Amino acid sequence: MTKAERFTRWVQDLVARLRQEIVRGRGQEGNTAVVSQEPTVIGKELQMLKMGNRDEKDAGNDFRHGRENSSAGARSRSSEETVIGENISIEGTVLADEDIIIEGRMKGTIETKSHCITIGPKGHIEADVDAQDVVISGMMAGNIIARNKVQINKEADFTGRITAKRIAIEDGAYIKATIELEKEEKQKAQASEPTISEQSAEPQSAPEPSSMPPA
Amino acid sequence: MHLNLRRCLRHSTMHLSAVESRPLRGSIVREVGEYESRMLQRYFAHLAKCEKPEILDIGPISGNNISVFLSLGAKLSVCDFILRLTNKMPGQELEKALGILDYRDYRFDGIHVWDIPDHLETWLLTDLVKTWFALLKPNGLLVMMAGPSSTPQPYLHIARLVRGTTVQLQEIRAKELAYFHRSNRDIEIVMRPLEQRTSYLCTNGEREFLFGRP
Repeated sequence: MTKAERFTRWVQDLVARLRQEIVRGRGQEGNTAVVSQEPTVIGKELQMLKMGNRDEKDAGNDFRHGRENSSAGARSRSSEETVIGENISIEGTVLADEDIIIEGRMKGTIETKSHCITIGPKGHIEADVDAQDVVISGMMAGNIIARNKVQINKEADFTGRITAKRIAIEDGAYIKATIELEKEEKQKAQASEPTISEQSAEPQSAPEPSSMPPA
Repeated sequence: MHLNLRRCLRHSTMHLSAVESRPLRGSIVREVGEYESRMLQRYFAHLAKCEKPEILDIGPISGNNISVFLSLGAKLSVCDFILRLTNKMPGQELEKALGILDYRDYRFDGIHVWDIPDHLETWLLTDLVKTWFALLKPNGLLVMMAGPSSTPQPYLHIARLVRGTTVQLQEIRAKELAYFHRSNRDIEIVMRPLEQRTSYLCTNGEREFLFGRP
């Protein structure tokens, strides 16, 4: 049996098992396997390791999705992004070579070094993330390494560390974070420019404070 | 935690949890003016002397301020302490909110608390000052503001840095938030063992204080 046939059979078994799960009790919390009323949402460039409690070496688990995955109902919003849907829960390591949008639950590690990870408003992840860009609108606990930009929207609830080249945070977000910017070469060149306090020497229309008398 | 402290925490929660169901996030009511902050000029001068300064901002969070402090080359820790205190934590879990400032001692060159002390009872503020003192490095500075008068200030303020050290005050809706007006003398006492380095009275009535760890 070829690897592709083994994979196809594994996917069929998985779908059958999921259907049984759904019939028994739809999407119980704590499942570490993919649980969805719809077929699994996994893009063609996504690799998943250690899914659930299964052994990584298991032929059925160590897979790289190809076109045959579409027969299992893979759903992508475009050919270059993967959506992990609201009713999906994943535990383990996700390696991807395309954008990922997470609306479900995720625990572990996500790596997509040259692409964007978006945690949607209903997304809930406890994971370390390594990506080009990260956009957070949901709940996230973990550390982020972004080669470019991290954006945290006001709906977000973030706890962890952020290392990025750029960061944008909306007022009102729940954040407990330690943030460090990686300096770009251009930024280093600008290091000799005036400091913040020097820039404030611009004329101000606002009244200046006066020294307060001792209390 | 002492029983007395627990009782006080619950009492304080009666004020603070009143805004629990409010859409506090990002609900900026209005801008209440701008002024040039001399305190921040001194604070930035202090940070400029530190090599790779570490700063703690306990909120409310302003994305603009985060950008400004990061542009100084600082390692910035942000913790929306007051929002968690008011919005996220039901009364019985307030101790957990206090525990959120779980950073290691002697870590920070600077801490900003903006106008949070105005909304905390003295016993709670005293407890927090001990925490801030522990978190600051020797010679580290703490920035705080206090409201202008004894008129209750039912709003939290975001001190948003708009141009250099020009501060734009923005009010966030938190109508039933407790307010405790303190005189300059009271503030100096409650902030011990931190030493008051300087204070400014702005023409809009806002008071700015710079405290340091000896």
